Amino acid sequence: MQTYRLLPFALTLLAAPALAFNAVLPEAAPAQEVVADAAGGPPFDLTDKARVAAGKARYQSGCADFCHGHQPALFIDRQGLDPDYVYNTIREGGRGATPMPPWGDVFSPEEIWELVAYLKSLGQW
Amino acid sequence: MKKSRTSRAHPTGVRGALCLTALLTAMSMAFAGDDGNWTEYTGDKAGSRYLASKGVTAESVKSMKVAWRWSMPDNAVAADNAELRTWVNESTPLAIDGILYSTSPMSTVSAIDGQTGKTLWTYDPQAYKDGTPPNLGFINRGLTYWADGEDKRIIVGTGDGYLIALDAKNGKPIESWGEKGRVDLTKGMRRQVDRSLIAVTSPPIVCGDTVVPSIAVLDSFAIGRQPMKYHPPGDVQAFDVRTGKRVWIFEQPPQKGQAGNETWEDESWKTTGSGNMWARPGCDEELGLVYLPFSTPTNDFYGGHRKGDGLFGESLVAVNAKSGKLAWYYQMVRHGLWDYDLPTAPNLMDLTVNGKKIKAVAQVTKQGFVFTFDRATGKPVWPIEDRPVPQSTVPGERSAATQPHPTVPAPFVQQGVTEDDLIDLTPKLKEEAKKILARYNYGPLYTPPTLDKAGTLQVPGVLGGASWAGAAHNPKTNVLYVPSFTIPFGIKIKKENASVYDYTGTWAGVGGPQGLPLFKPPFSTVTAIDMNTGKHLWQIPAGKGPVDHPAIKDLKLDRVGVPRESFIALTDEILFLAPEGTHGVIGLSSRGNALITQISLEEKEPYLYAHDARTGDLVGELRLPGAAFGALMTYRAGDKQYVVVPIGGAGLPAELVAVQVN
Repeated sequence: MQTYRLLPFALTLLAAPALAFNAVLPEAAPAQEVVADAAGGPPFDLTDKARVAAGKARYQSGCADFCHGHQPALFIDRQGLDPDYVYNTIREGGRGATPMPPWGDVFSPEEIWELVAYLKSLGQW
Repeated sequence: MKKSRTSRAHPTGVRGALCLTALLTAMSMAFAGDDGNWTEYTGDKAGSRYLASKGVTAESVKSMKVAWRWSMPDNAVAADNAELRTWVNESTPLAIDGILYSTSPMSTVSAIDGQTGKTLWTYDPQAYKDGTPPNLGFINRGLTYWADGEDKRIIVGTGDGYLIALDAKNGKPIESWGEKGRVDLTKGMRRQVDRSLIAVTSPPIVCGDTVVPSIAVLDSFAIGRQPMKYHPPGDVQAFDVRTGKRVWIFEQPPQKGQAGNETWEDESWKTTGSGNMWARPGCDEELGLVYLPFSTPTNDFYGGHRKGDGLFGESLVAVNAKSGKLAWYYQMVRHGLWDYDLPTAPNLMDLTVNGKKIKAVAQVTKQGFVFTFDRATGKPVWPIEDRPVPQSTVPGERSAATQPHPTVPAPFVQQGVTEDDLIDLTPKLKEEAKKILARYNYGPLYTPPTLDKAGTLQVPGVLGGASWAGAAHNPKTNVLYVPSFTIPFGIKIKKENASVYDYTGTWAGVGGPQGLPLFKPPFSTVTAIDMNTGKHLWQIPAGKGPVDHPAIKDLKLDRVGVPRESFIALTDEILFLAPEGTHGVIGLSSRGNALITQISLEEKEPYLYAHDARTGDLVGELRLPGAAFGALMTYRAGDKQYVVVPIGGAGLPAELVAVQVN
């Protein structure tokens, strides 16, 4: 179990100095503790090709259009991301820092982990 | 593939008669003339995006070529400071007597030789010095030209909330205007406004002696940051074009005693913000009226704190240009819950409907309607019916029981969702699309946002339908050309525990199976509408689109349309069209008030297309050095005519590309 404050999007950016955007919200969303749960880590090998393909299909239908894009610059060659953190961000959404919806109501933990597998396949983490 | 073409209702002879009739009636308007100038962001004050052009033909566009490229001053600024990355380049120039005047995403202003692309002067208002403007960061869609004899001025609204008047001859501020050439737009509103929450993105309009700027306000749709309790209101200010002195303010929401105030229950007019006019207004100088297209009040997707219809949210409002006094209004969405802002300047046109001449105004909308009114009185040209719509299930919400539905013209895009709308180019795609659809609640147009599942599948989505790209209109034929697209959005409401609002909205664009769109093609279109009859003439896909996708390439489809918006400019014979490029969000600005994005490095369809304006047939195409991200314009300099396309920005150099078309 891990506890995060808000700003998942922002914190992922802080982990990527190459992007050079210091994404700190000066007047952030309300100070609301959000407890996220990475559900005990991935239940399968994140490099499994079938899982990556399933995650890609889910990404294309839910994440790409008019947000992260079909060639997601945020994730291609990305370094330093923590799988649990990515999982929790997808599950909980933007938490007031971005308009990203929480996908935990829609996708099962396994389906979210498949998304994590796809994003991991794009990067170097 | 031409299956999306609905009809060719007007043979040439009928159209010829229409031309003659319209020609006799249309010339009193301030439409673009035949001098080769593009004097307004939208071509003219009527919003026509049209230039009379004899030499631009189906033959001439077969040999279109890039004449010159111009690099924007922002590129050097951004090179020195990575924090100052702009959004995509949406800046469109004007052309006056062979000189282009261009703004840039960072609100710098330049004059450019129209034949060579050489910079004549640049003025940098340093609108970037405090950081990013709200929502999408550095965007500035255009500027405004005004002249009285030899007094020629450029007026630009900036990303940091100023209105600036420059001498068009040399780019120097008009010292006698406002305070040393500028007016601070944060000062005139009814309450103190945080500068990081507002920006000017659309060019102001000058109507008579009055200049009316648009203003963007931090939008929860854009970045998810919740609106404040006292969010910046949607007040519209107007200034004397000669002095910069404020001449009136139109308060939005209306205050105690003002028309429309009664549509805000529990005194919610006191605190509710946004509902602003970020799109450009229209102007009829003969009638002395300015037409203000307003947006959705805070927050975009939940209105339990602002019960009532909420005037003038999502309304077209005509006010006297000199006094700001309300002339008429029409609310197109009551108690908005879909972010269906009026996204563009209305099109003003002089119609002949059933033998009766009508000075009309037509407003294209995100939800796919064309609302058409007598622009002097606000009376609908064709009946608009109030129809029952689905009701909200979100606690505390009270959605409007009915919404207005124009009966003519027919909608130009898919409205609402049924399973039959899903992509069915192959059985496998259809099955996969069904699984995606099952994540969402869905129904007809105006199905409210929901709390459960992945929310409500909103179609048209929050970007349109029609969009800020607007519509083009030929005043000689009264044909309206409406670009639109069909990208659904999932709008999911979430409960807030420690917020100004009980509920706020989240969103995500929704794609379909295997990277294709969710619904049947065409994925985007241009619809030509005879505005004298309200009938659709034809509809074509806007761009080629993903016909080479592995899942459908064996179908050998011709054109299905890019699943994005398209930008257009119109001449007598040719409709120019450029599909928008692609990009992906990579984070938030350091100010926390804007999204930051990166243009795709492998753009699939960076094209300028030329279509026969009479039939919609594709008659020419040119691969551009980058995809379009802003409105097109066309002008003549010397004996050559050009179409200018804004490209780049967001990680790539922002440029204007001038294409010779005759």
